[in-house]
Amino acid sequence: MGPRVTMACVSAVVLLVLHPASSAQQNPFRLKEPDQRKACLACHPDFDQKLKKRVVHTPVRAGDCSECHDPHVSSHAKLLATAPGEVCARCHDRVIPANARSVHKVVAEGQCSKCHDPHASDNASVLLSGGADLCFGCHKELGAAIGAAKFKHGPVREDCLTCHAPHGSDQAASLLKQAAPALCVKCHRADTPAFLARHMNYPVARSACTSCHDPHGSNQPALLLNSVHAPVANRTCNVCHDAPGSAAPFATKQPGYELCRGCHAEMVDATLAKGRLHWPVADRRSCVNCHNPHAAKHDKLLEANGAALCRGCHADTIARIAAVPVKHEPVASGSCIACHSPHASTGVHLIDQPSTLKLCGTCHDYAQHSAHPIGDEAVDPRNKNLRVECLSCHKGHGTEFKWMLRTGTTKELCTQCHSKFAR
Amino acid sequence: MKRVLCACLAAASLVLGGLRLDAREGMQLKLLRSVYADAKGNGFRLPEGVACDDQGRFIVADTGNGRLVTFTLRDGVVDGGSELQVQQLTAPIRLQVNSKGEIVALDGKQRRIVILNPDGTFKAVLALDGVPPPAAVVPKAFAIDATDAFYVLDVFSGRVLVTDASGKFQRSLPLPGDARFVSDVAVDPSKTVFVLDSLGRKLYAAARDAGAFTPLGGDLAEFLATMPSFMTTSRGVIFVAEGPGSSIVTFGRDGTFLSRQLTNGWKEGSLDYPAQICINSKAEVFVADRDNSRIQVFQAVR
Repeated sequence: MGPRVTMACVSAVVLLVLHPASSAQQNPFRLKEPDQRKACLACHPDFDQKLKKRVVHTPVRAGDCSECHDPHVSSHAKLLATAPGEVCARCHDRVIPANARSVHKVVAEGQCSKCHDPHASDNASVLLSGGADLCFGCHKELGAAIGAAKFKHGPVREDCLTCHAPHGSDQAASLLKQAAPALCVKCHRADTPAFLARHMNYPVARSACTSCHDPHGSNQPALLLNSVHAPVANRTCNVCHDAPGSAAPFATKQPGYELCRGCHAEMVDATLAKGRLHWPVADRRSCVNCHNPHAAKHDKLLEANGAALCRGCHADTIARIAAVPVKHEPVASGSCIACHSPHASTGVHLIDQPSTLKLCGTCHDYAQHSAHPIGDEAVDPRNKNLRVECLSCHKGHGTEFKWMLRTGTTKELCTQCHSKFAR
Repeated sequence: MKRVLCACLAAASLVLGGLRLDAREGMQLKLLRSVYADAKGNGFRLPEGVACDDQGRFIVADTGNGRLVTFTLRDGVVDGGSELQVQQLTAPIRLQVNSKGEIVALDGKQRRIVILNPDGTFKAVLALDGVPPPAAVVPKAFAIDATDAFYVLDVFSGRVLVTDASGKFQRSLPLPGDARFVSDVAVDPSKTVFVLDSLGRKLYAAARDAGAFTPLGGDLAEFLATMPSFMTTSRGVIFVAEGPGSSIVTFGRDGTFLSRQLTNGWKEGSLDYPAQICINSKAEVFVADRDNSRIQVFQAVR
C-alpha cells in the first residue's frame, strides 16, 4: 500500500468522525419512507388483509419486517434472515422444555409454519386452524380412526391440547402433559363408588389406563380398545388376578403360560407339543410378549400388527429386509406369519411345514416355474445332506437381485452346483 | 523312556493348545474337518448340538434325525460315527459330557434334561429336587461345571437353577431385570456363571457366590450384528454363535470384544446358522453348523 492511499484513508476516517451529521444527511441508502411497514406494504398490498386478522404476530404488528426477513438478499426462501426454524428460535427459544421426554417432530425439524402462520391468523397463537383440525391435517390416519369411532373421548372432539403439549413434554412420551394414570385422573375421579364398581374394586387408579382404554375413541363402550379379552368384557378380572382386596391384587393366579392355559388349554398344549418352540412363549411374560391380556387395537389382542409386532425383537432382520430392493411379497406387506408360525413349529425358523419346498408350494406351483430337479430326491451337489429346494437359489425374505436370487447372475448361481461349466 | 517322552510331548501339546487359545489377540479359527454323516453314511439333518471331551471324543446332536452320533478326532483324523438312538431323547438340541464321561442332553421338544451313560445307553431324566416354586421349569439351556453341578436356564421363571450332580437344588440366580431374552448359560472353571441376553445383546456374569448377575462389557450390539443364541466359555474366552450372522464372536472374560470369525455360506469353513460350540483342551473348536447340516471342526490358532 502506497503512502498516498494511506493518507487518503486516514483523511476519510477523520472527515467521517468530525462530520457525522453531514454524512447521514447524504446517506444514499436511507429509506425513502421512514416507516418500514409502509415501505414493505407498498409492494406487498395483500398484507393489508392479513393485518386485519384477529391475531397478528408481534413483529408484523410493529411493522418490523426485517426482524425475520432480509430486505436485500438471503440464502433462504422468502428472504428469511436465517433458516426457517432458526428465525423463530431467535425469539421463541424455549418452546422445547429442557429434559424433554418427547418432542413434536415438526418442532425438532424447525418447521414451525406447519402449524403457525408467521404473520397473522384468526386463531390463537397464530395457528393455521383451530382445535383438532390442525392436528388431523398431518395425523390423518388417527383423525380418520377417531372420526369413524362409535364412541369418542370428549376432549378429542374439542382440542388435542387438553392432553398433549404441542411442542414437547418433559413429563411423558407421546407429548402427553402427564403420563397415565396421572393425566387421566385429573378428569376422571378414581375414588367414586361408580368408578370403583365399574372396575370391580381393583385399584386401577395406579395402573396404566391405556392398557384397556383407547384415549382417542373406540367402537367399544367405555372406550375399551377394540379387541377386548373376554374376562375384561365380562368384568371377571378375578379369573386371572387375585382378589381386589388382597395384598397384591394385580398378581396373576398362575405364572407365565400356565395362566393362559386355564382357558386356552388346547392351543397352549398344541404349542408345547411341537418340536420347536418360539421361546418367548415359554418365558416369564409368555403370551403377554405379543398379546395384551386386557384389550388391544388389533385382532387377537395383538400389541401391533404384522411386522410391526415382530420388529420389537427382530429389528435386525426387519432392517436387513428393508435394505434389499427385491422383497418377497408377504415380507413387503409385513406378513411374517405367512411363512412363520408365531408359537411353535415342526421345522427350523418356525416354519411349520415338513420342508421349505412344501411351504413355498402353498402359494407357488413349482411345476409352472421350472423343470429343474427339486425336492427330497434331488441331492444338493454342494452338500449331500441338503436337498435342492426353493431356498437353494432364492432367499426367502428378498435380495438385491431379481427374483430374489442369491447371486447377481444366473451363471454365478448355476455354477455353484454345475461347477464343470464354471470358467 | 519312550512312554515318558510321549507323556511329556502330550503334556506340552496340551499346554501349547491352551496357550494357543489363551493368546487372545489374533486368535483365528482354522478349519480342520467337516463331518457330514455317521459311519454308515447316513447324513446329519439340522444338528443343533455338539459336545466334546479331552480324550478326542465328540458327540453330535443330530436334531433333525432325533439321534446322537459319536466320533473321535485324533491327529486330525475323524473316526467312529456310531449312532445312539435313545427312546427318551427325541429332539436333542444341546449336549455336554460330564466328568464321568456321561452324555447330558437337553431335549428341545420335551424340554427336559436326559443323562446317558458313557456308552450311550439311557441313564436317567434329570429330576430337579427341592426347587422353589413355581413347579413348572422350562429349561432353555444348561451347563455343567467340573463337579458335575448343573446350571439350568429356566426361562419360565427367569432364573438359573444351580443343582448338584443329582439334581438337588443348591441355589437360584434370578436373571437380570433389564435382560430382554436370555438364551444361554455357561459356567467356567472358577464357577462364574455367564448368561447371554440375545435381544439385549449383553453378557452378564455372576461370580461363584454372587446372588445376582452383573453386566459384562456393556452393550455389545456394536459387535453382535445379529441375534446371538449360543454361548460357551473356554479358558477365559467367551464364544458366542450368531445365528443369522453365521459368525463366531469371541469376548474376554470381562466382556471385552476379541474377534469376529467366519461368515455365512455353504462352502467348508463357512457357516449357516451355527448352533452349539464346544472347545476341548487341544483348542479344537467343534461347531454345530445347523443349516448346513454338518459339524465343522476348527483349530483355534494365533
